[in-house]
Order: sequence, then C-alpha cells, then structure tokens
Amino acid sequence: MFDILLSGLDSFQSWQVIGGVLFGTVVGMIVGVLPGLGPLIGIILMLPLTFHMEPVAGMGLLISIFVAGSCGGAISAIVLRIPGTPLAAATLLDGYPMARNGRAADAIGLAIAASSISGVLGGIVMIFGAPLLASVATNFGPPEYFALAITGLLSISVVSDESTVKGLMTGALGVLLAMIGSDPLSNAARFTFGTNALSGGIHIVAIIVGLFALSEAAFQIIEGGYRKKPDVQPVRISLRSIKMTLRHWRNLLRSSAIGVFFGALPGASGIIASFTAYAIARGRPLAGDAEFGKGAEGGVVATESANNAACGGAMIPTLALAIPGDAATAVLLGALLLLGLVPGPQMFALSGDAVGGIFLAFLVSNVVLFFVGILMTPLFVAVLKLRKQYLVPTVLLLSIVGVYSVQSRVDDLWAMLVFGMLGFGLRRYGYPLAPIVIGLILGPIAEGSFRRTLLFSDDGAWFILERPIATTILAIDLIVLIFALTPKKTRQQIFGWMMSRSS
Amino acid sequence: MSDSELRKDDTTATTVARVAAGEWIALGAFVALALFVHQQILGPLTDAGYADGDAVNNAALFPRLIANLILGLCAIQFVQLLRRRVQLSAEFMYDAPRENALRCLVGFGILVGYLLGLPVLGFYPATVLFLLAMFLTLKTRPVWIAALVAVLLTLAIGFVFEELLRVVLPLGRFGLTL
Repeated sequence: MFDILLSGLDSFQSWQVIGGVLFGTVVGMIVGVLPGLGPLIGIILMLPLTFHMEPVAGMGLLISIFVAGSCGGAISAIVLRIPGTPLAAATLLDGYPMARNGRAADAIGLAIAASSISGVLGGIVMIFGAPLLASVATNFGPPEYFALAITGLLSISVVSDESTVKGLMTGALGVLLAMIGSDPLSNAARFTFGTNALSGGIHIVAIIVGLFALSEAAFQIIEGGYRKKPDVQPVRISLRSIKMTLRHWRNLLRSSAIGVFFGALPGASGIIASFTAYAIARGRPLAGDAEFGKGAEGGVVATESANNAACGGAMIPTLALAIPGDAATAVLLGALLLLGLVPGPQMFALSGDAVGGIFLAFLVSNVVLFFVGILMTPLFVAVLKLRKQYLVPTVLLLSIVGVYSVQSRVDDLWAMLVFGMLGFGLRRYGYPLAPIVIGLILGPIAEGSFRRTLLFSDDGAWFILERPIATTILAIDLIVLIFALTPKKTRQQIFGWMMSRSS
Repeated sequence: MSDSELRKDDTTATTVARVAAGEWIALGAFVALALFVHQQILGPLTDAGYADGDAVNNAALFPRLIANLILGLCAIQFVQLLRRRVQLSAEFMYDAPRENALRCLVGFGILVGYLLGLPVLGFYPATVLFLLAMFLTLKTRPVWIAALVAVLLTLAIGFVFEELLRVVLPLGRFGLTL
C-alpha cells in the first residue's frame, strides 16, 4: 500500500499536478454551486484540457472536480434551498433551516469541513481497498472480465431513475457507438459507411460533451429565467467550523462508512448514501443540537460526509476492476484510458507510480477543498448571482473549444452537435444518458473479453460456466436483471411475502 | 370544475399525448437502429468476409448480439407502452413556454451557423458573433454590454487555449490570431 504511495510521490511532485488540483478544486466548487451543472458536467468540460497535461496531473484535475463538485452543491442548498447537485438534496433539509436561523456561515463551514474530512477517510479506504481488490482480480482471465463488464453495464442501467428497459437500451446504444470504426481484433471496418472520417470511430469526448453539456444547455434555455439573479447575502466562514464538525465525530465516522459502502456499490451513488446517513443520524441526535429538520448541525454533517466519502468508495471498483459506479466515475475511467492508463488489476502492476500519484492527488484534493472552501466561499456564493444568459453561452463555448482542442477537427464539433440533439431527445423521453457512457467505455472491454473467451474454448460461450468466479458474477447479474425487469407491483408482493416469512 | 382546472387538465392531456407520441418515435428509432446493425452485418461485413468464422475474424458477432438485445428490449418496451398510461418524464416537469422552446431551437440554429462559419471566418470573428447572437437570444440588454462580454470572453478563452495550451484554433480566411 505505502510503496504505491511512495512510488507516486515523484509523479505527484510537480507544479502541473498541484496547479491542476488547485484549479480543479475551484472549478469543482463553482460547477457544484451552480444548479444544473455539477461534477459530471465539470469533469466533461475540463476533460479536453487533460490531453495537454501529464496523466497524473490530468487525473488530479478531474478528481479534484469530482471531489469539490460533490461538496459545492451544499452551498446553494444552504443559501437558496436549491441543491446545486442532486448529491446535496439531503443537505438542504437542515442546511437551509440553519441559514434561516442566521447560521448560513456555520452550515457552509460544517458542510465543507465534513466533506473534506470524510473525503480523506474515503481516500484512505480507497488506498487500502483498491490494491487489495486489484490483487484479488490479478488472476482474472477474459471470462471474468467479460462478467465484470456486464456487471458494470447492468448496474447503472438497472438503477436508472426512469425505467430499467430504457436504461438497458441506452447502455446497448453506448456499446454500439463504441464499435464504430476499425474492429481491434480483425481490423474490419464497422458502421463507417466506407468513409475514412469514421474509421477511427467517433471521439468519446465529442460524444460525452454533446450528450451531457449540450443537452443541459438546451434544457437550461427551455427552463427560462435567463435574467434571474438570486438575492444572496455575503457569507464568511472560519476555521472554527472544523471544531464544530469534530463535535459530531461519531456521526462523521458512521456517515463516512455509509458513504464509502454505497459509493463502492456500482450504481448506488452518493445520493442514496447521503439520504441513508441522514436517516440514521436522525435517530441518534447529539445532545444540545437542534431538532432534525429544523437546523440540526448533525443533519448537515451526516449528508455531506456521506456524499464525499462516496467519492473514495466509487473510485475503488473504478480503478481496481474498471467498473464505474456512475456517470462521473465512468468519465473518469474514460479519461484514464485516454491518458494511456488501462484501469484494472494490470494498472496496479504496470503503472504503480501513476496509481500512487492518483491516490495522492485524491487525498490532497480533499485537504485543498477545506482551505479553498474556507477562503473562497464568498466568491462561490457570489457565483450564485451569475445570470443564466451569460452562463449558458459560456458553457457552450467551453464545450466547443474543448472538443475542438482534442483533435483540432471541426468534424468532432458536428458529432458533438448531433449527440447534443440526441441527448436532448433521449432525456426528453426519459431515456437515461449515463448508461451510454458506461456502454462506450465497457463495451470494448466486454466485446474483447467475450471474443477472447470464445477463442480459448471448444464449447463456445458455455466455457464461461466452467469458470466459477465468472459464473457467480453472471448469476448475480441475471438475478438482478430479472428482479429489475419484474413489474413494481410483483416486486412489492415478493418483498411483502419475504417480510412476512421472516417475521 | 373551474375554468383554470379544466385548462390545466387540457394542458396535461396534451403533454401526455405529446410524450406518448415521442415514446413511440423513440421506440421506433431503437428498432430502426437494431435493423440497421443487421443490415450492416448482412451487407458490408458479409461482403468483406467478416460476418462469420472464428472469434477473431467474426467482427459481426458482438454487434449481432447487441442488436438482438435491443430488439428484445424494444419488444418489452412495446408491451409496456401498450399496457400502461404514459407517465410524464422528469424532464417534462419544466413548465416550458413555447417562447423558450423557440429560443432553444434558435440556439441550435446559431450553433449550426457557428460551425459552418468557423472554418471560413476563423475562431475570433466567428466566436464573437456566436456569443453575441446567443446573448441576444437569451435577452441580454443593452446590446453593447452583450457585445463587450462576447469580445472579452472570446479573447479570454482564446488566450487560454491558444497561448497556454498551444492549441491551433481555426484561422479562417482572415488568419486572425493572438
């Protein structure tokens, strides 16, 4: 464990990495604060920048956005009762009442300190957990990788908000999009219409930026309120917030553990973690604290520590098994691949220094989050006054220039536009976009592993059943899939029957 | 029932009808996608000799599986659409006036214009015009402020990408650069 960290020191000790972490933290806080953006859009907008950086610096930048963006949403939740990100939805339950009681600064201070401390705790679990998981998976062969890729594809589709079937359909769409271009095994041109422009496939950055950033800009325009400027009072927070947070140390540790657990479960995410931590903390209030729902410090500590600890948890399967837990970690996984690092057990063996650098960047970004949060909260609160009429064109321009900068090709911009319209249409009719990203990233892994499995087998795909780990993973996948496709009413009946049997 | 309640009911019914139509169109698009994959397998991939053989040579193996999966999912979605009343998706919760929808369409139009103009005019002139058009579409007034912000933002982003990241931005016929 420590040797990985030590080997990462060299790649971490550069101005590019430290600057990337600092810049990423500020950007993460800003995209977290602004309702409608969030860490995912922040990571997507900054992804093209990483092509001009060293791999560890690039990952440091994106991870800092991931970490700070997960915390920034709390500021708008506390000040305006509008969570900047869905992750902060539970924070407003007590954060906003605290602000109404004249304690906005305390609430934001608690949110930032709890996020920072729990982020470090989550990072420590990641540093121990990811190499351990990777070492277990070192002997995995193509059948096991195929089974894991299917798990990743299924998990995000199955927990889609709207419909499992739609989630699976968009996941399959992502897999198909990844197949455009030359087949890596046979060199056959697939879905290229005979043109050279498509022989290398469509660049993943153009697809992701189009799907998410462009469609979000379109929805922001449709929503209206271009000139709306919320009335927010200036807020200053102090170092005292760390003392206030540590008064809730039991809550902090418990919520961090919940966060890491749910974060590490593919498809579960920090939102479930923060609501679960809140529900548990509510049953164990601290003496002297306000009632939950009426401005309890414990409520803010629980939700914010859970959703930031979830970041560390989510990185464990992402780095060790190449299974992203949500769309943000899927893009991080894609970024790793684009920067020349292949996530999974091999990365720990072959690029230990880069992994160590990424671990250090994760830890440092959580520490930086605290100081940036304390010093720059007045700026982040002021950002809330930014009108949509300026914000939307700025996001559009950053998307365009970012996509162009990757390959200096206007063709990529047209692809981005097409995927922007596709993303808008899909979202409009309740088709989730996150499975497309997972499909794009895990599709090639699934296909490659599947075909390699067949190559080594005389019994065709049945060979997988001779491998106990792969069979177990696929059996669990099948059960989850059948359960997810079962109508809600039948599921409730099964639950009711199980509960009555157990009681 | 009051007039306003009746109107609200009418609006919801219209929206549900629109969503229902959209759901069928989306389903049709996925069926068409799966059929297109099969067409590509039976056409270009078969012609090139990559639609059968061993796992290495058979580039059609996995696409065929995915296309069949999509067709199976479409069948389930078809039954679900027939059986249940269409629910409004979360994205339909926006109370979007027609005017805003039109602005969105105009926004896409401006973006198309920008992409067409970018190779001709170059990054700086095209971006200033693009931003100005977007600002005005989103009701930024007075016009001189919109123009000023458009120029400053273009220069700032141009500086970051061109000077700091060494990206060669489109020069166009005017060849303008920082």
